[in-house]
Amino acid sequence: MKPSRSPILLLGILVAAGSIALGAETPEPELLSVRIVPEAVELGGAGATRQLLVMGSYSDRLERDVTSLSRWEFSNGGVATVSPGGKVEALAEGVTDVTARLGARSARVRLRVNGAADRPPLSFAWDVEKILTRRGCNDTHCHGGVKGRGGFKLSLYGIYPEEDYRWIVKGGTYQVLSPDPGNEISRIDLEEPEKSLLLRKPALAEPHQGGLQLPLESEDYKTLLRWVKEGAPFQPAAASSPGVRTIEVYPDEPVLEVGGGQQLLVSALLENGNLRDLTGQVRYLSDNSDVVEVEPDGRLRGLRPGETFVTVRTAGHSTTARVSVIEATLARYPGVPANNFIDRLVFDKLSRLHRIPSELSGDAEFLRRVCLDLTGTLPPPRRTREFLMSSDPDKREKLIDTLLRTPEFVDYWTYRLSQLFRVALFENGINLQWTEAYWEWIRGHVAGNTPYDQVARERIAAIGYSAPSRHFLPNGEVRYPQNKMAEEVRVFLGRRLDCAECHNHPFEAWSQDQFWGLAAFFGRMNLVGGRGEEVGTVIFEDPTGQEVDLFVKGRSRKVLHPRTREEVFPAFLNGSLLPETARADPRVKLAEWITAHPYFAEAAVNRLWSCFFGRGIVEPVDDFRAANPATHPGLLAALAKDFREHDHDLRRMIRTIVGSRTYQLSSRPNRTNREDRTHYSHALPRALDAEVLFDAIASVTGVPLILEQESYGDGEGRMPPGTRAINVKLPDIFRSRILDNYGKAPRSMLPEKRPRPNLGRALHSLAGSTFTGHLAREGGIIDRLIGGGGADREVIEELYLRALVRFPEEEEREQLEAMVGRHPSRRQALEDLLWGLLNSPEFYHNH
Amino acid sequence: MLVLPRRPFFANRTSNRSRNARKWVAGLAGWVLCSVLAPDRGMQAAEAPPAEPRAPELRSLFPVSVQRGRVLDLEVRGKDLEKCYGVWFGTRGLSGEVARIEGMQFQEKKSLRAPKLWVQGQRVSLKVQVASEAPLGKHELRLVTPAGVSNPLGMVVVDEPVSLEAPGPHGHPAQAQPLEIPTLLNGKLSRNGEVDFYSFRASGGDTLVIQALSNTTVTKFDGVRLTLYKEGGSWFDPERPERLLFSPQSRITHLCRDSGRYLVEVSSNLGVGGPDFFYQLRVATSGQAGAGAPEVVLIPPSALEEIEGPFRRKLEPDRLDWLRSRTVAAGKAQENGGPQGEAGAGSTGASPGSAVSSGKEMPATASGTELLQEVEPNDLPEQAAPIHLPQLLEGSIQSAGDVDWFRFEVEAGTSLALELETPEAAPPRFNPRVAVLDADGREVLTNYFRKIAGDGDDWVRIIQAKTLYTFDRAGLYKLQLRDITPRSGESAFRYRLLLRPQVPHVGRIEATPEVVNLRPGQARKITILSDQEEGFGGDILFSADGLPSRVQFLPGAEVEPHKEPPLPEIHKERFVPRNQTTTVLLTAAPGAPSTRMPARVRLTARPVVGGRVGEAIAAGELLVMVLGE
Repeated sequence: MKPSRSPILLLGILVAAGSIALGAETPEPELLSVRIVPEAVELGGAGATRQLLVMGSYSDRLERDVTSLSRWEFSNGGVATVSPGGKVEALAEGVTDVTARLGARSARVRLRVNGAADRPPLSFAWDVEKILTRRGCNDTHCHGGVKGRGGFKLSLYGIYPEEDYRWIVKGGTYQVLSPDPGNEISRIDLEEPEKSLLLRKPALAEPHQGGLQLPLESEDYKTLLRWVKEGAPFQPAAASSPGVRTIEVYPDEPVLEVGGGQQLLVSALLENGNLRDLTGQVRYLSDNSDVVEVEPDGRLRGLRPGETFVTVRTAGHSTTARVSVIEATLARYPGVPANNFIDRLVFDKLSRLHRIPSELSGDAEFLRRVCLDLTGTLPPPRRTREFLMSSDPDKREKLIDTLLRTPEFVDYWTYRLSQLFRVALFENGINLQWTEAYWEWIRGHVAGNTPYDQVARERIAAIGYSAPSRHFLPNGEVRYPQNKMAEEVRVFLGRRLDCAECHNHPFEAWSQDQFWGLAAFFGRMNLVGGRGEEVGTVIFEDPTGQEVDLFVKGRSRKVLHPRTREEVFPAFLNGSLLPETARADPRVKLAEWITAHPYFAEAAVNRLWSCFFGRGIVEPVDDFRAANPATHPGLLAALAKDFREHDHDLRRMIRTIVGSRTYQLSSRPNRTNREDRTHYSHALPRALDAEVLFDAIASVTGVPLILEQESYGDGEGRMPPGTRAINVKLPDIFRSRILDNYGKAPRSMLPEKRPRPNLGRALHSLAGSTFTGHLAREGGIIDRLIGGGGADREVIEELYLRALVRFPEEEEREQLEAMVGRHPSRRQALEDLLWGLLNSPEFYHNH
Repeated sequence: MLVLPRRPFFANRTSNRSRNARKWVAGLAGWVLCSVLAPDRGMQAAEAPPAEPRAPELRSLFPVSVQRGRVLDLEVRGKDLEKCYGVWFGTRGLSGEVARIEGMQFQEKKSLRAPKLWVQGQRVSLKVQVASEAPLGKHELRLVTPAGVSNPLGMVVVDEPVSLEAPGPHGHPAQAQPLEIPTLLNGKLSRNGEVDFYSFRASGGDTLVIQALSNTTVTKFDGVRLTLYKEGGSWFDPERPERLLFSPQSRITHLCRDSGRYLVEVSSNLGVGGPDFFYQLRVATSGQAGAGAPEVVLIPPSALEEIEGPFRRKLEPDRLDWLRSRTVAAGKAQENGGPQGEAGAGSTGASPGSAVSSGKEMPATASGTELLQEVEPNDLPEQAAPIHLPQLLEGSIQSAGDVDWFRFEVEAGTSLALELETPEAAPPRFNPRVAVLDADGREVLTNYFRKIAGDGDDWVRIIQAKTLYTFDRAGLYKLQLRDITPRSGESAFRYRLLLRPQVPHVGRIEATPEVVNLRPGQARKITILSDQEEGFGGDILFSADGLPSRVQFLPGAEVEPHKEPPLPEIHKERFVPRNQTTTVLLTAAPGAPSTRMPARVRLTARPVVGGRVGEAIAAGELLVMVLGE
């Protein structure tokens, strides 16, 4: 038996000789086995329930939810009963075997009901918050918003139950800028529980903007009423039920066919190690309901091919299930060789998604890609010929090792880190020497392959007149500790806390207290020297803090919580305060904490990964959050572990990534992976960075870039001819509108996604001096090739090697020879050809 | 197969038609501008009063360095030098004469935002004789014209042969000019973006010392940048050398790991170059001649130098004697240091005039201050070493977190001066923070001053080299000295700290302008700024020696411009001396004979306290010329 699904196409062909065979689609997959999830069930007394799933494995390698198709049997029918949807309910204490049958296949689990039915007392933090979360009351668009709603504020998804309890039981109105609650009128009525505002509003007994959220007959209404009747305790006096450590969802990465369904199972892992079923008590949200829709009870339905995630929330906890919807299954999946753990993890997921990775890239494709990714530099034709002619089976590995040792590697990764660390005159205190020193500091670390955690520590804790301390001096200032902190956290932990500066983060579990606790690490920074004597500015930790107001004489600054106006002391994200004894030099401790935190390694490898694949495993790379999960959590964890275990060695991690088959896959897709943008089944073309593109044009045309000084002083200087754009230390002075048009990252902010193609860029490509001027310049490559006396065939080959790092195909060669031959001006024809090459997507992309 | 985009016809920039069109538009614009501007320009020229000849202005000198005992050809570039006839040196052993004057043009801007204009200038060839006994180091050169004496340019006298940059391009490693080290070379970055490469051989274990300096008055060229490479090669470019070191401060010291060919790249700050951008490059290994040559700053010192300056002055045991030499003789005035010092001075330092009026005796210990070496361990207040005032302390902040403690006793009303010298490493590298704590551990004094800077509304904190304080209460005090950051410290963080009684005295004296070109019958104002240190409240008598015939040095009066009261600066009096501005006039009588060369006029200051006149203090020199009618 097979559940209903979309028609399956038959692939079953080979893409090309020597390629990996594409798997065959199965017209009618056969059920091979079934299993019940979970494998053992314990219920705590009569009335307790548990959702069971029956999962069927099919011959097309897809595991489907067949719960609703299965037939249930109990060895001891008096112990429990089951609904058609698989929800078992305990009837009496005892043990029974539960069997699910589907066709000729069956599976069995042991079910134990312990003790008699009991009704443990209710707690606010768990039982009430769970309802408020499931009903959406504490969602961001309701009372969980920044200011709450209708004068009633709840913490987002119940992460601060003490605060919520206070607003409900004591009453009052939340103010963003003041701790004053105003009139405190309780939202519960212990005398007449049914008259509690907490119940009357959502039951629409009183006007409620959010409409009917809690029908009188619902279990949730009854639970809340019972809680009020029990005296509305925060924690029951005899709290016997263990707390919740975390929640889990099963399956966490389901794969559905279009039209296919899957029931999610949600369990709370208790502090005593037991699991409790929460399947029907949580809130489910699909991130893309065009791909997957989710019912309030956790039932998924695949609507169209794609991938999205479903967030599962309950009181103070959340998790996600990444759901993939596929168009067709592949009965046979070819074996794909793996170079390292990256491949095993990537290909395993592709296999589950019934997508086959593309072939290995050709040598020319690989050469161009790896040279651009490791060095931002096109290989010279001599090296291209050498590599393409080589029959050494290890030539790729050898090339990678060679490139990692080149000065061009140091140039390029200095440039990349300079973007991230924002090396720019105006961002480094408006002082040339400082900016140069900061750039040199980065370059020194790239050249010496300093462990990344050391680099991070030096930057975060920078003090004195040291080069990295200059990055704390935008416009010569060190005020605004909140800005310093938010940037370090974003750069090194990949989290954006900025919203929490003014209020608890609207979408995440970052509180305003956490924000200011971290900001306080930067609150004692001060300067000697400084404006007017910029050359000598020294950063130090001032035990008295720093002035905020020019006209407040000698008053020391404390970091004050903007809402409570109370002094905030340095505290880590987990709330633990920095001991008083360590506050004389607090950023040293912060730097140690950041670099030891698991977020650090995962943020670093994710950022690095994005450099080679055009997107992070979490994307955007600096926006890790529960609602933006990783596409490959296992891969991210493995990369982070490897990075940590190898001393945060950037060069080694780069070698691991580019040594993987995943990185070396062709950009040419096959039928199974054509739509894939997130699973690394084939290389995705990536537009070259503006600086790399212009360096490439200079290299191909043989005409050096001219970068002239703008925006500072009287703007006279010029970079030495031949200076590569990636080597410019002061990009905000040696500006170029062309580079800006092509998406050069401004250094006034952390790098974001590159802008899309724009009109200025298009016009410049057509007639801009970078293209046309370089082609026509005397002494350029056209001049040299013509002067060298080469035949058209040789000149065309040379231009292809320089620009595209490959030989022209025979068809291309013939057509181009004919084009050049019939043109009245050979020079003009060759210029046109080169212009065409430079404007081809194959040139301005890395692929 | 690649599908190549088609190149649009208008993208062809090699077309003569478009080039010609651009020329035509530019020509038309030029004609329109000329037609509009020319008549006005002509009228202004006709009506303007005859312009007074302008004093000569020098821009650059080449070569920068000259060898002792040689006669050399030098070239000076500048403007208003058409009638240049004399060469003036500030040092004996140097002489020169004008050999040739040629006209030339250079570009100049009147202000930052103004457009560049072509200006008529001159290139003056000099024949300069450097006597074999001429002192080594930096010397001033000026040129003299009938319109007066010019601004100075720096020139360096050296002992070793001086070579010149070879003609021909060497802006690429492959074109590097070979050098034999040790070498001293003079070169030029004649265009924006120009760099010069030089190559030389060094052996493994050699310590290379490379220094460069520039000497133009065109301030944008405020530094030469050096980058050191070793011959290497890259997979991409076999000629690419390996980059070893970059210095934004014109000096590199590098220990060579391997023997081989090294390269040094000379570039300029921001890639600025031009006909006046000359430099001197010295390459040597340690132990070779020239490697130990002191750094010479030819152009006005940078802000960094200004900050370091006060910490570099010498604090010696006889410093009190030196200070006394700048006030009225002992017995006629009173130091502010003893317990008998001016009562009621409060905690804000000595009051002005107290030194004159008190008439009390100076403490017997004031002369020949004892030098005390710091002894570790003294990291804790309870380990503080006792000191007796006045005291000169010597120590170092040897490692990160090192703190040095001392203790001393004072009586109520004692006024002290704390002076710091950091002979090897000064701020911003070593930032010595001094604090004095009372018996309760309260900080009563630091050398940490918050002042107003920038455009007048920025607070800046400065570590001061000198701090004044008057103790309200008698008792035991502890002095702490550390680096301002807890993570800095090394053997070079040496300090000398002098605790001494305050000596009211005349401090820095500065007269401007330093060059005065006078016509007969004319007067020129000289402004003399003098600091009244440590409560000096007397008067200062100025005189001038060596005036040209019929030139007088007369007192002048000046209306003080109105100044907005500054924002309050906390305890400014502890850190900043009061100062006094004196205006004098130099007048040349009608018919005063002209001087062919400038006269050196020596200014002298004498403190006057209570009507008594103190010793003479040298207050600088002026160059004065009387021009022809």
